[in-house]
Amino acid sequence: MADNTIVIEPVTRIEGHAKITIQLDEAGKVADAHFHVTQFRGFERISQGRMLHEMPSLMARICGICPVSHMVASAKACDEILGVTVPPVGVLLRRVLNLAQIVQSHSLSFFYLSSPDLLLGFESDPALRNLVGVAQQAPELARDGVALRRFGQRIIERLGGKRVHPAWVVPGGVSRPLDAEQRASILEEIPDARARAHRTLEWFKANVATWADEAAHLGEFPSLHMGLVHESGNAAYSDGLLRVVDGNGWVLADGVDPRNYWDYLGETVEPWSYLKSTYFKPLGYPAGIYRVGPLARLNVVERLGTPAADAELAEYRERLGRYPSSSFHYHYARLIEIVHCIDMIDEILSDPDILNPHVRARAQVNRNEGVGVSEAPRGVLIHHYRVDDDGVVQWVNLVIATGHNNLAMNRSVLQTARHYVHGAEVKEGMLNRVEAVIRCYDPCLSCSTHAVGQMPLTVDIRDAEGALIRQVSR
Amino acid sequence: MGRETAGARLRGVLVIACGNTLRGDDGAGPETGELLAAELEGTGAEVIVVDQLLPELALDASRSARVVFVDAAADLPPGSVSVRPVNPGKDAPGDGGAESPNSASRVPGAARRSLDPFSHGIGPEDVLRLARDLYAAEPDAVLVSVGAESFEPGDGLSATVRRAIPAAVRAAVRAAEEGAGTASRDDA
Repeated sequence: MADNTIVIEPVTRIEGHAKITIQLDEAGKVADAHFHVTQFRGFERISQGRMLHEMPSLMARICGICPVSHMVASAKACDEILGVTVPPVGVLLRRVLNLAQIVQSHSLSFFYLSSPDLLLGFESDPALRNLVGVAQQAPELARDGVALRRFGQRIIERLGGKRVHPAWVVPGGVSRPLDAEQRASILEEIPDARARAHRTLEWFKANVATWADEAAHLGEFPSLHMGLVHESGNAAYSDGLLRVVDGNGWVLADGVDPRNYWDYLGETVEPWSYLKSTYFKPLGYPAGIYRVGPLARLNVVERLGTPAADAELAEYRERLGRYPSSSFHYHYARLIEIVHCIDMIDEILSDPDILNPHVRARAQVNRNEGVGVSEAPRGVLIHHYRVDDDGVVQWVNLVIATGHNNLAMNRSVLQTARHYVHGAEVKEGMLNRVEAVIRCYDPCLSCSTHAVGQMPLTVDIRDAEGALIRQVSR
Repeated sequence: MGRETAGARLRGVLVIACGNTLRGDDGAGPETGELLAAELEGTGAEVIVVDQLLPELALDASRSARVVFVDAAADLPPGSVSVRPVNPGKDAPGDGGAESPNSASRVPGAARRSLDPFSHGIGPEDVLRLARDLYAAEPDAVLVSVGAESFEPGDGLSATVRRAIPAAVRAAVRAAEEGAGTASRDDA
């Protein structure tokens, strides 16, 4: 390791394992920085040879934090291969599960992983800069986070039978209908969850001016934004069509059937990370940098579709502009989405028809290829399968939300490092801010690293002036 | 050990069994937990099986008089089962003075950063600390550990650990019935 390289390893308070390298020049200024994902999961290869009907349950085990997202996207890919139309109530129940997933995942990200920085300060004592410290300083905030996580988890547990890796979502729909008792117990908990979500949002808004410097330097740059949008212009977390906008709101792609993602999205692998980089093909690599997840979703939709959340969205846009570009605002967007998802769960479950017993369509393999897309908490999630006529999986491609954000995360790390890290004296708080920009994206690295095969490795041999004199690759 | 058909002799007891079933012997916790759920049915005890310990379990713990954690351990002889009491830590996470593995290395000097226990799940002590700090609750607690042979990616327990599961179940049931126990070792 060169003497002028700072390594932060592991990056703390994220899901998964990664490191960041910061390259200083001879003057001690940041010359370059990279976000390296160091863990490897390989589900794309593990899935080969499996039976189609196993896929939702198998894919759920990609991640213990967001299994539902993978189950839903996987099941949708299976639906297409079977050639079925999921009964309307089956669609709605899957949607409720996905919304509950978003509530609990966003709560984990905000309360457990990021609130320590926000409440205690980015340069506070790292020994206390965690949920224990938050619990001591602001116990009500910590309790709200625990309760919201639990609210989402309990919905998943009630519907799916277990809180982690529930096996309820299946090809064709869901395995059993909702009963009246389950529905009543969920509806009973909504007022409390709603109150906690609003309370947290009010706390954040009251303090957001405190973080003006971070908002200006943690991933503040123009990029494209991508998300699923309903034909009405409302947010669509389980269904919908892809929309891509630029930082000024110009629409670069709209009404795109997500099954045609390959027409618009390219993937590439860099030698310094297991995480694939995705880019918008019409603009090429790396100019086609885009973001997904809460910040991007609020940029691509016209409205969310529930009154309280839309009121918050209007205030958000009044404060930050119609198309906020700072990754720091992922936190604000995340909190608004929690409010929206709780209201959507209430709306869906309040319809008496949600107890309809017809929740699954059954069929054999009718196509050899299927694509399933949904909005995971972190952004657009794509599962793409090919099977033989017996339903044996031949090929899998997973485009994970965190992969969509890889280019943006790397750019954010470089920007943040250049602003906060100064070679003469590197303080812990400087490094925490570099980590903090990654936490804005709430990456799930357990989900993200799947491509199997040779890890491309290139060794550049450069002379003292940096000129390339030999390159070795495998 | 027979099943209770009525009553709640273990009401107030919470078993939290954790581990990743796709990481070899890390599945010892969930495997034991599933068996305990059947074994303790009707006793009033609650059994939760999770991939990893997370802060929301503090709320469940705060509503219990006694918590029995079950997990695989890397620092025990494979196949051994140990029981030890667990207490909420008094110090902040990462205290102790030892050099943190999360150091940032640079020239000159080094920026030392404390271990953050929340980067990927937390420990039993942290669950109890949160139960105390957030809900003013301090249940008795023990940790039943099963020595693991391997944590390599894969579905299924090693033969050594699989043979230890019945002993782990017995130890957890005993711990549930006896309260926070003293440290002991029971090789399977």
